Amino acid sequence: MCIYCELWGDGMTWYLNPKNYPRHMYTLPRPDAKPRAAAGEANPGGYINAERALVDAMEKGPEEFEATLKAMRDGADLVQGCVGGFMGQAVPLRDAEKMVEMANPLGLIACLCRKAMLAVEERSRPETTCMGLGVGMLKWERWPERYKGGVHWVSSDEAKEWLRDLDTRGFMHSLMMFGPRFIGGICNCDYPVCDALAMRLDFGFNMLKGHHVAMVDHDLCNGCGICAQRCQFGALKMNVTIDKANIDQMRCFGCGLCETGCPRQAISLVEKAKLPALQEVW
Amino acid sequence: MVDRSHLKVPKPTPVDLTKLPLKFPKIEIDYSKCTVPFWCKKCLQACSQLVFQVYCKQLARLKESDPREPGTYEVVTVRRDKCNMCNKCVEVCPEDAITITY
Amino acid sequence: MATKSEEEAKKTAYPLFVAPRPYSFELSTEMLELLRKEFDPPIIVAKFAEAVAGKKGPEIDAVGEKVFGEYGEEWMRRTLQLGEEYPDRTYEMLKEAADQTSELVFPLVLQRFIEIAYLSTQQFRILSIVENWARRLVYKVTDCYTFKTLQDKCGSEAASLLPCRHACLAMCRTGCQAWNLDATVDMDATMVKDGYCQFAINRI
Ligand code: SF4
Ligand code: SF4
Ligand code: SF4
Ligand code: SF4
Repeated sequence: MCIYCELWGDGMTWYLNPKNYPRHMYTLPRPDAKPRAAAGEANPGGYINAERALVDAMEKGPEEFEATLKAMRDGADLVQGCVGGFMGQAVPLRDAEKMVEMANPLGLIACLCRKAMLAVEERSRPETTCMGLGVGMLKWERWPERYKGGVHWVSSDEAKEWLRDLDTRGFMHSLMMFGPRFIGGICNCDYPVCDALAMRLDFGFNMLKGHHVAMVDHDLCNGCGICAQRCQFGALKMNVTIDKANIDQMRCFGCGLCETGCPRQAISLVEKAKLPALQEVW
Repeated sequence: MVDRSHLKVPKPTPVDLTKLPLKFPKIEIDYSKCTVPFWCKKCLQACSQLVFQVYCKQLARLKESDPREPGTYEVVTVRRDKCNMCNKCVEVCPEDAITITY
Repeated sequence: MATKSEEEAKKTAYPLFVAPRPYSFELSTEMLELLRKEFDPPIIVAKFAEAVAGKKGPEIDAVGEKVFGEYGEEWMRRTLQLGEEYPDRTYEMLKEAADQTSELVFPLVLQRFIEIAYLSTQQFRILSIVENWARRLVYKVTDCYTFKTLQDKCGSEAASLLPCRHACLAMCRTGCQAWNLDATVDMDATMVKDGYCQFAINRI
């Protein structure tokens, strides 16, 4: 079972449980509180430098690498309230569409990874690739540098349209946690520009696989190869011998990009719960 | 904190520990020359391996930082492990701020 | 000496967001004080104790429904009024978002006023929200000042009938009426049985 379902699912898929989205709007200050700098202000670039330390540690040896990785995971657990350093999870389009009905407000914003990796700015609404969820978004003006171009508020129907558009373009959807039991964002990632995905695929933490895996119906597949261009995880390749798509379910993240891209509906997403041998593959 | 010791936390580690330590190229950036990286961004976009990342050093409440001001941003070589030493970044850098050694 | 890039950068126009005034995203303390002065739990509990003196069982609940029900209505009415008179930046932004999406009055605008109502009269600093989405707004109160005062003043027997629930229920109903929301207000958990009160506003 997915660790988050076990902790916060209340018997359902955890990200379809509305209890994992709400936040209070106001916090009264403690009478004796001293003004405290936000984490980002106290240590700008902290995450980037931690990543750099990880690479440096690989030059030193296995013990140093494992210790640095552990410190990073524990740090993420402490700040994000996540478990084992996993703060995100792959979500297929159909579930992302259900998620936007459970969270509010929905704000389209610029992607932080693309800003860091390529210095890309997404100032206008059609450029945005990230969605912030929850009442914290109402206070974005506290840190305008994070929200270059501001927040574009959308209704859940508009959000679904936006998600479908990004899906067509080939972005995989994932959720992000910002604090214990609080889903605060839907990211649209592509490797290696998405840092969270790069960390998962290169160093093995930061994002869990989803709740589904993809399977091909060879009777329907005509070997067009469109799906192979969309898989970001090296799970789907064209089986040249029989000229059909082939999916390795051990590697599949269940993002569903191949399913939504297939012109012949040859690919379907199967719930992992139905496949006993995949219960511990996250 | 909640006791989560009973939970099976998945811990895949794609890095092959038996191969460590590895040796990677050393990339030095001269920050006296590279002062406005978020505006320049040439090395970030030239590198196929996405070795560089840029971040805002001077976050402020209620106002955006100006990337045209020297020192607001800093470019960092994060993923040296992926650098192939193609030297494209060195070529595109208008300030000759990058040196790579192995 | 300025580098080439710096000189070029200076020539380029760049849009910068700067907040036009120093915003406050938190609730006005003045507003909270005004509300507390009028709706401090000891005041209403004293009134209830007077009305209930010498009464028993079902009578207590009937009196509770009247006294606390009226209090709850007035409490929300005043919160709505003062909440509008003392806006903060969070609320301004919420109104902007609600205008643009035409779907945030429930739950978020309602949530704001419920938070104000509790934060101005209770002793906790955060109202714990359990669900807030298009169909349900659920919150819970663990450490209730009203209930505690009730126990102290009227004894645990009267308190165990939970007459104060009528205040919270009436408050939520008044909030729903203010925006003509078709909704029912239910109690999912009670202080007496579960150790906390949980209220659920369900859209019909
Ligand atoms: S996109 Fe569909 S039809 Fe084309 S190769 Fe993939 S599975 Fe087969
Ligand atoms: S095989 Fe399909 S569902 Fe699985 S990771 Fe690749 S694109 Fe996503
Ligand atoms: S040498 Fe090539 S791979 Fe290495 S950092 Fe420069 S551009 Fe990237
Ligand atoms: S190309 Fe050179 S000057 Fe431009 S950002 Fe990169 S290191 Fe700095």
